[in-house]
Amino acid sequence: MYVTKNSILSLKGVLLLVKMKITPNFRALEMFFRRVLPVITCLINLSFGVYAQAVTDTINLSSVEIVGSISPVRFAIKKSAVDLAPLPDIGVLLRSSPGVSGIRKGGSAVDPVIRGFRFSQLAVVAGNGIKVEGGCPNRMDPVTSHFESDDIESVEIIKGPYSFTLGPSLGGLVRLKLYKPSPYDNFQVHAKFRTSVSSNPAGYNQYVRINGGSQRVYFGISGSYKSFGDYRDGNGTRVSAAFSKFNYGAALGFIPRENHEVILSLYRNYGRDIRYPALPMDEIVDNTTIVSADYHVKFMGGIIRKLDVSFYNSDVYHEMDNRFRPAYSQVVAPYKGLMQAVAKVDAANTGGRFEAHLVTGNHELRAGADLEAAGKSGGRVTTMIMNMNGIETTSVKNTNLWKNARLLNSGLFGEYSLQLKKLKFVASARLDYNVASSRDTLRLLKNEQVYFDETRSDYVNFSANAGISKQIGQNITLSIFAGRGMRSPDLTERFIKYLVVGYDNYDYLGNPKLLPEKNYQTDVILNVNTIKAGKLTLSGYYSMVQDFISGVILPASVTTPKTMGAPGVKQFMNTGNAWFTGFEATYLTPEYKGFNADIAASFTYGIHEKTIRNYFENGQVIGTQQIRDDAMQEIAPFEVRTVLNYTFYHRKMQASFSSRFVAAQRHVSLSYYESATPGFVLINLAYDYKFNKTVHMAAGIQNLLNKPYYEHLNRRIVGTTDKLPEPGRNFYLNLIIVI
Amino acid sequence: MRHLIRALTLLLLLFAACEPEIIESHKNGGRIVLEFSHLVDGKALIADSLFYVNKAGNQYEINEVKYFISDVYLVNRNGKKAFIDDQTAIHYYDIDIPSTLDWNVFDTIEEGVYDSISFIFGLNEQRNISFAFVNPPEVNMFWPDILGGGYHYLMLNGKWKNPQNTTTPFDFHLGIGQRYSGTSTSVDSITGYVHNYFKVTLPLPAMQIENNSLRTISLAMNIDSWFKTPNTWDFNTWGGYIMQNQQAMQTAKENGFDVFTVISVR
Repeated sequence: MYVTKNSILSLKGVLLLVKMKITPNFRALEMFFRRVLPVITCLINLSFGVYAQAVTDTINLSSVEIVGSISPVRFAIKKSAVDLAPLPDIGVLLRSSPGVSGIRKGGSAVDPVIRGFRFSQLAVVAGNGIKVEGGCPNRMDPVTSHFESDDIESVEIIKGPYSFTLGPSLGGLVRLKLYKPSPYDNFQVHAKFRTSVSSNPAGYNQYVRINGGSQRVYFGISGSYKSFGDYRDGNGTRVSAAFSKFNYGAALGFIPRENHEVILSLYRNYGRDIRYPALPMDEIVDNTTIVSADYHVKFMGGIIRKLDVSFYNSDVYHEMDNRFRPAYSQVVAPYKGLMQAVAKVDAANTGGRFEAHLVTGNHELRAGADLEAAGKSGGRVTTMIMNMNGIETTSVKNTNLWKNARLLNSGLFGEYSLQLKKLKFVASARLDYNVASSRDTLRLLKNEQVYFDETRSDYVNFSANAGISKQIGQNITLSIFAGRGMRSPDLTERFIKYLVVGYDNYDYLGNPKLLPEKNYQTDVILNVNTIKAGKLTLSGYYSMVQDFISGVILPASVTTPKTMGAPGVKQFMNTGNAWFTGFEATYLTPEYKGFNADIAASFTYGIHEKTIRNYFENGQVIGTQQIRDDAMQEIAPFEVRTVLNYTFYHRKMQASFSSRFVAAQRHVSLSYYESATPGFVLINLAYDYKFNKTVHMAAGIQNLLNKPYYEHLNRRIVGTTDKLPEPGRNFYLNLIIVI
Repeated sequence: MRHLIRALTLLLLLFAACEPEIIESHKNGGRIVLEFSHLVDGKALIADSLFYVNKAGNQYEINEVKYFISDVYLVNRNGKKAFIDDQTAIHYYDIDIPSTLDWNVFDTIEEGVYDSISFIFGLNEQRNISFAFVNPPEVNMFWPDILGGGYHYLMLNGKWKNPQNTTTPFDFHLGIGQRYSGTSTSVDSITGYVHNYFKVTLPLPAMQIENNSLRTISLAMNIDSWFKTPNTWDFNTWGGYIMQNQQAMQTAKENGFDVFTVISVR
C-alpha cells in the first residue's frame, strides 16, 4: 500500500500526538482520543479503504530475534489473543494460561502468579530485556501494567528456572514481546486501529498505530486511550474499580549496512485515578517513560551468527492517596478524625545486555552479560485532622518509604544446546553479583536484637539448569529438566518501610540482611502429537525453595503499624524451606467438520515448612504457634478450562463456547489467616469474524450466567473480610482494522 | 487416558492428606492477666448518672474513662524485675470496650513469688510519639501536635453541675502539657512542653507464679481519688477543659498517686 495525499493529510492529526509536550495535559489528551481520534480514524479508513484490498506487495523482513530459551516448559500468548481480549490488561490475559493466575486488587493491573511464584520470584521483562521498577509498594503497578497491551505482539511464559538470558529467574519468566517496526522493500505506510468497548466495566479502549518505512529506515508510532468505569459483580453490587490510561510510543528502525540493525524506541504511559478497593489507597498518578536502543548484527557463515547489544531506561513516577475513601473527607466511626495519606515514589531502572549467538554443527551457544541498576525513593505524608473542643487540629507526619534505595545486578550467562537426531540436550548457567543499599536512617533494635540497621548487602548468585528431550517414536517427546534459580531480595523486601504490601493487611518492613532465595526445581514434560488424536501435553513439576522470603510478625513492643487498618507489622525474613508441586495438562483435539476443542487443567500445591503465627483472645495477642507444613498463601485451586470452537463461513467466522471449572480452595495458609474460597463455573461466549484482511471483529459475552464469584487470589476489600469480586456479565466488542 | 485420570486422582488425594501441624510455643513460667475495674467511693462506677459528689462538693457524673498504662513490671522476692514487653508494653483500657478491661499479658513470667507491680500511667517520652497508633480505639486518644503531640494518657469525660445549677461537660484529660510565655494560652506562645506521665507502684500479696499457672491481678482505678488527695479538685475552679492548663494537669497528676489499688490476686 502506498501513501496517498489524503492519507498524509489524515496522518497529521495522529502525528499531533507525537508533537505534544513530553508531560501531556491529560485532559487535553483525553479530549483528543474521545473526539478527534474517531474522526481521524474514519478519515484514514476512508482514504485507505480504496486500497485496502490491494495490499499484496508488502514484504515484512523479520527483525532479529535475539532471545530464545530452549526450555519446553513454555507457553505463548499470541497477538491474535491480545487483539481479541475483551479487557486490555496483560495480567488478565496471562490468567488464561494454564498454571498462571493473578492477584486482583482493582479493575486493572492484575499481578501474575505462576505456579505459586509471584512478585520478584518471577522475572517480567519486555522486548530485549527491558525491566521496569514499579513505583508502588502495594504493587498497584506490576511490571505488566506499564506496557500498553496493544503494543505487545506476544507474551512468552517460561515456567521454572529455565531461562537465564534475560536476567535472574527463580520461578519463571514472563516476556512481553513488544511491537518492532520492520523494513519494507519500498516506502510504505500502514496503520492499525483497534477499538474495543465493553459493558461491565463500561468503557472503551482506542488504539492507533502508524507504521511504515523503506529498506533502510522504518518506523512505528502509536497511541492509545482507555477509560473504564466501575464494574458490577454478579449480584449487581458496584465495585469501585474505575481507571483511565493513556499511552503513546514511537519506534524507529535503521539498517546502517546489510545485516546490521538499530532500533530505538520510546514509550510513555500515563495512568490516572486508578481505583484499588482492595488496597488502602488508590493510584492517582502514574507516569512511565521507557526508552530502549537495540543493535543487532547478523553474520553469514562462521561460528558467530549474531551479536546483540541493548540498552534501556525506565522511569516511573507514582502517586497514590486515599482521596476516594470516606476517611479522607469525613469522620468515619470508630475514627474521630480525618485520616489522609499521600505517597509519592520515583523509581527507575537502567540496564543493558550483550549477547552472542554461536553455532557450530549441532552445537549452539548463547552467551553474554547484562547489567541492571534500579533505584527507588519516596515518602508518605499522613495527616490527621481532629476536632478537639471545637478547635480543629492538624497533625502531619512525613515518613520515607524508600530513601535512595539502590540495587545493582550484573550477570554473566550462557545457554548451550545440542541437537541430535532424536535427542536434544540443553544446559544453561548464570552468575550474578547483586549489591543493594539505601540511605535509611531507621534503626530498630530491642534486647540487642537488630531488626533494621545497616542497609548494604551484596551477594554472588549462581543459577544453572540442564534438560534433555527425547523423541520416542514419531509422535511422543519426553523431556526432563532440572534447575536451580537464585534471586536476591528486591528493593521492597530489603527496604520498604511500613506499608501494606502483602496478602494480609499487615504493614511490612524490609530487611536489608535477607539472604537470596534458591529454587531447586525439576520438570517432566510429555508431548504427544498425532494428526488423528490431537495434541496432548502433560507437565509435572516439583520445586523446593530454600530461604523462602516471607513476612514474620514483629511484636508491637518493637514497632507499631503506620498504615490505618494494619493490625501489626511484619518483617520480611528468610523462613526456611517451601515446596511447590503440581501439574498442567493441555489437550487440543484435531478439527472435525469445523469443530475443535481445547482443554487445559492445572493444579498447584504449595507448603511452607515452618511458619509462626500469633493467636488471639479478645483481640489481644496471647501467644504464638509454630505451624509445620502450612499451606502456601495465594495458591490458585485446581482448574479445568475448555474451549469449543466452531469455524465456518470459509473459515472467516468462528464461534467459541468456553467454560472454566474452578475448584474450591481449602488448602489455605493458617499463618496468613487465609480463608477458604468456594469453587465456581463460568461460561463465556465469543464470536470472531475476519471480514477481510483489513477488518476483523470480535464480540462476546463473559460470565454469561452473571455468576457472582471471586478468584482465590483476589485480595480482600479494605475494611472488610470480603474478597474483591470479579465482574458479572460483560458484553464486549472489538474492532480491528489493519491497512 | 483412564490411567492418567487415576494417577491424577491419586496425586490429588496425596496432597489432600497433608495436614499442617500446629505446635504451641512454651516457655517456662506462668502467665498473668491484668484486670481493671473502676470504682467511685469504693463502689463500681455507674456511668452517666449525675449523683456523685466530690470533696469540693461538685455534683458530677462520669461518661467515659479511657487511658493507657505502659512499661509494666513485676518485682519478685529477690528484687528481680519481670518486664512485660515481649509483645507490647502498652495497654489501652476503655470502660466502653469490655475486651480492653482484661489485659491478657503475652509475656511468660518466671516462676517465683512477686511482691509488687509497677507501671507508667500514660506513656513515657520514648513511647508517646504521634502516629504510633493508627487504628481505633487507640488512635482516638490523639493529642494534637501543637500541644505536644502523642496521645492522651487519660480521657475522663463527664459532667458537673456548676453554681448556676447547669450541667456542664468536663474533659479531665491528661497528656503532654505546655509552657506558655506570659498569661496567654495561645498556641503561638508555647515555649516548651511537660511530660505528665507518672509511675505507679503497688504492693502484691505474695503472688506465687508457677510453671503454666495463670494469675489474675485485679486492679481498681478509684475515680474519686482524682479529685481529692492531696489536692481538692474543684471543677468550678479548673473548668471543664485542662489540656492547655499545665497547672491543672500537674494538680491532676499529683492526685494520681493513690488512684490505683490492688483488689485481689487470684
